[in-house]
Amino acid sequence: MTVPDNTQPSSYQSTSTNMVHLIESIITGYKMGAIRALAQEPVQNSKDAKRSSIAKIEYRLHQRTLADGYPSHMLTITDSGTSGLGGPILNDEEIDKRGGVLNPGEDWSAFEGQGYTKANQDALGSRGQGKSASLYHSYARGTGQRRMVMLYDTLLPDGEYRLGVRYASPRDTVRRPPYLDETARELVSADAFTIDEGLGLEYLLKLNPLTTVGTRVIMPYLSSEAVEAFNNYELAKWLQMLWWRAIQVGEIEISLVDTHGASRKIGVPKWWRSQFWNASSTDENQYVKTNIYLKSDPNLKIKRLALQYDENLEAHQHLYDQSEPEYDGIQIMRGLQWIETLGAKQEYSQQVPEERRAGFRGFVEFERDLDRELRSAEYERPQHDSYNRRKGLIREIRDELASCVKEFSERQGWVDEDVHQEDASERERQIASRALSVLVNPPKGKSAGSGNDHGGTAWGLDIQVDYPNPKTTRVDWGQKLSRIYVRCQTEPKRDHGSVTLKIMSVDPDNKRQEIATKRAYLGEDGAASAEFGDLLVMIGKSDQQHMSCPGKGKYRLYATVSDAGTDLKRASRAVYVQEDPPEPPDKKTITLSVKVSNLEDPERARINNGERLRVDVSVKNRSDQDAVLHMNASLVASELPPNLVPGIDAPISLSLATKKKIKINGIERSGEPPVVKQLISKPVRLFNDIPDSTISQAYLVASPGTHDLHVNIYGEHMGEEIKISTSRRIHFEVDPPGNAGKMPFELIRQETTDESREAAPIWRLESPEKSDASYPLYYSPQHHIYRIAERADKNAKTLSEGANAVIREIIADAYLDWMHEAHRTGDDSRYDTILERSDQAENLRWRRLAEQVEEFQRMSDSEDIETERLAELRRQIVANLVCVFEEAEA
Amino acid sequence: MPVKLWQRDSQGKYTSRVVTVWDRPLGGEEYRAQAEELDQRLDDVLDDALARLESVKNVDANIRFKRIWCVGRSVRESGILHLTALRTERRALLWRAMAWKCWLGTRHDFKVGSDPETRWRTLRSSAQPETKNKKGGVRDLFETGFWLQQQELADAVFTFGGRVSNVREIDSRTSINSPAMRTALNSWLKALPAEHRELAHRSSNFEKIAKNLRARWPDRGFGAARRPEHQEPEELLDEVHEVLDPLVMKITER
Repeated sequence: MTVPDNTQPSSYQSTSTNMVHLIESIITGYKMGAIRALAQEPVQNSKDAKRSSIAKIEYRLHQRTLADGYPSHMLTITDSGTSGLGGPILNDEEIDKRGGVLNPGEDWSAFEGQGYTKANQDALGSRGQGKSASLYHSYARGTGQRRMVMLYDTLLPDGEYRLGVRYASPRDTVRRPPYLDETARELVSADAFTIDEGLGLEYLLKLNPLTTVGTRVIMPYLSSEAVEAFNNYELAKWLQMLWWRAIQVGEIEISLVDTHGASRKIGVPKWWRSQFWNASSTDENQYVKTNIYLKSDPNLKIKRLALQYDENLEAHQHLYDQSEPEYDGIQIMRGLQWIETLGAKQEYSQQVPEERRAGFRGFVEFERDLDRELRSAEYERPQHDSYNRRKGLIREIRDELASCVKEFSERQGWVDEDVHQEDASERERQIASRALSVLVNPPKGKSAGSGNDHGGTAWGLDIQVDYPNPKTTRVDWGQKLSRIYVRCQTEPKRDHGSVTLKIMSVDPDNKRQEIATKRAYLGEDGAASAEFGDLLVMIGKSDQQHMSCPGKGKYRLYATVSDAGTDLKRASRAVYVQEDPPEPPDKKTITLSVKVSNLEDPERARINNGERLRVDVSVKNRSDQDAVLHMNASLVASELPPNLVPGIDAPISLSLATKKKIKINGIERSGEPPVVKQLISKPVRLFNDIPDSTISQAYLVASPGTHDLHVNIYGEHMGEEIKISTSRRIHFEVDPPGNAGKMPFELIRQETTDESREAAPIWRLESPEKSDASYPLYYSPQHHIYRIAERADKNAKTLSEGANAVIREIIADAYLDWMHEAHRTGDDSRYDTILERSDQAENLRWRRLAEQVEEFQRMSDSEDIETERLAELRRQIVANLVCVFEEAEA
Repeated sequence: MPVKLWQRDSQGKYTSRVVTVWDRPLGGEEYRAQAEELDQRLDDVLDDALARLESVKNVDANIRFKRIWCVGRSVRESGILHLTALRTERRALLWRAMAWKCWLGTRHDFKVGSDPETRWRTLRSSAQPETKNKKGGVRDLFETGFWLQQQELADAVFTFGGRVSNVREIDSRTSINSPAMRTALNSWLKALPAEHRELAHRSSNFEKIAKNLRARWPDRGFGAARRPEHQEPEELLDEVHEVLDPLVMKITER
């Protein structure tokens, strides 16, 4: 411990401030990142300092090679048509004496200060965001510690020239007094400028001194992030987004000059160029409302709200984050500057349907008094990037805008006036999403029964049984299941070691009884097998010769293969005890299943250039008769890249099968599961231009957009004409709309003001307008079950209670409808999600669910539908699905 | 793309701006150098198309038909579509730029006092070009010509009877606009007696031909998975006969 030296008199001193941390905390406080800050703050300063009709701001990128040969970039931001940084050059003591308040026109001191307020200014804009944005992007070399440097020179109307220097090392340091007049001019244009002897930094500014009144901010050692943003136009895009309105009315002009001297001006986004609000537009896709007075204060009014819808507009590509709206909504322009956007998705989801959001644009601006009011720190964040939405004034403005958007939406015919729709609450959406994930997304990692072990070996298993009557799976008490034989197969072949093969019985209530276990050795063919002899079906207890079946009904003879105690694969055979198995269905005996997956990232629907997708097509025969059919399948590009001529430079489609003959056996005996035959299992690569090298794999050249896989099966089977058609939309270099591609539904809460419709069902599933969108699943919060459940929420202790339970029930019910909708057209792809999932699941609930689903399919396709049994099955499936959801939550 | 779009203001002054279908904060101007290069190449394309049109003046076909074929072929042979500037854009802008060049007669180095190239007007209809892309997915005539030139002129005239409206009937239906189908259609027409062929080429009848073909080779639903380009030429021709012979019988019976 250091002992204080009491012999010296003590005094109060300013503590060292870590300016680097301070600046980082200011800039990271910008909701939309540091590049927005760089585009916003310097322009805002210049605009505020405007003294002629227009302020011109130039962002210029310079390339410098430092004395040690190290390449570096420097950014200068120069304004003209402004007043320059004038006023006296005050030191900290002088400012302190004034109580930290500066007078109008004392711009130099205001620029150099940190956290001071001008006498005529509100608190905003005085935290030093302008210089923070400049310093932040400077990474001075050396020491390993973050250091920031900026310089600024100004030419004043009286001809005075000033050059200031500021750095953070990390201590905040400013040169006082600044360099003046000729010294300043010489240093700016000199080959070498020593920033500070103690800092050990020398830079080649080599700039021409300013010749017109104005200010220049010089950022040496420009960060690579800023250089990249300049070169890839991100900075230009931010400048446009922030300042297009000020540019449009001629307040400012912004240009960017690159290292080659090429100069470009920032323009107005094309959708706002027409300025339709200045003319009496009759275009029904445009909406203008002016002079909207606020009820709370008639002196405050919204000057103008302009909305438009253009179907040709592409969805806005976000610069920062999808969750932060940019052009995609109503831009709030305060003082001709964009502050934030009320998002079409986030704010107006009720009024602007998802498929219209890409083409929806809007902006709002305010009369002077309201504009000034909004600028205060009470409403606007110091970063000028959002408003405090809890404030009454902001709420009122939002309400006014929402009612205008509603009016526009109704005029467009987007919403029904009597119906009030909104996305489900976040909590309910999460419940729905988690429930659907259980069905849609296969579990990650290796689960028991998935058929794959940790070493990457795929296991197959088959159980063969001779039934007493070879035409049926019915077995009566006292009859035998003979020559039971279990064989497992590995791929790639594993030809060493042993596995355990086990058989067991499962009764109609899913209770298991082990019958026999055998050890088997893998041979050269990668297979292991065991014979389990015969089993007598009887009422008593199971053992190696007896299968206990105490009651009538559907039993299963189960086989498993396991290694080191882990189940690797299961297979089973149905055994109908003392009763006939159900007859095969009369209709939909042949169904199709198509799956398209992204081989690079199975959870991503979008396919990027050069990536592979996998097309799996299989056909199912649920009848007892063999079928001979034909298949066509092709992947069709909706458009080729513009430089390619379809059919000459590249084909417009890729044939995967043309009139391909398919033979598929019928089931051997009644009660057995359908026979499935894989028809296509093929990877296909997608390119946006003809690939340079020869690709051995199948590929298709297409332009970015949506393309289609078409599969048709046709022929005749059991006297019925088979014509099955299905297609899948492929998203190439574009994302599917909303959460389509991930989830089948979008949960939407729908209230109605029409009393007669209160008795509407609790949920309703509709087909989407676009084939690649999610199905809208509407639920009614006015339904009495929901209302009661919602009230129970107050006492709910777990996520399974209250309205959440209702949402799960709705999801389960709707999922069954969704699966069956495709089945009606002969497409079993959706049903297969349940069947595949059951193959991978450990517990028997999934197996039971799969059986119920298969039975539901079969019964609904039989001539004499047993309505009661079908309804009961439906209830069982829904109940099982809800249990599955709850188990997953647990 | 960026393309240089020539225009003339209300005072009659010629101006140009660089446009791109993608929204750019700096407008298309950031690509002016590429657009200028393209503009210069387009001079050659249009001159070539003019010469080509002159060389086919004796071909018996509608002038609109011949000129869109000539422009399309000149574009194809010029290789401009492989310029870097055109790789990621839609062709619609290129057609608009060409249409304005034809309308105003502006060569790439056009200055005050230069004489406009008035001969280019014969490559385009007499109407002033659109200032925006057409709504409703209607293809530009030059796009149709670009598609048309995939066949040699004589074959194209034979297939479509030298009528642009017939070209559009097939070109606008994506599932039947492949070269394979056009070849088959050409062969089918060859098998018809001359007077039947003439009837088939009438606009109202050709529309029926296109519709029947599309019904057989739809772009969605059952049948969409088997495209004409996936069939053997003989098999395709047989099916075209199967679809169109009854139709032509009906037409000629009237």
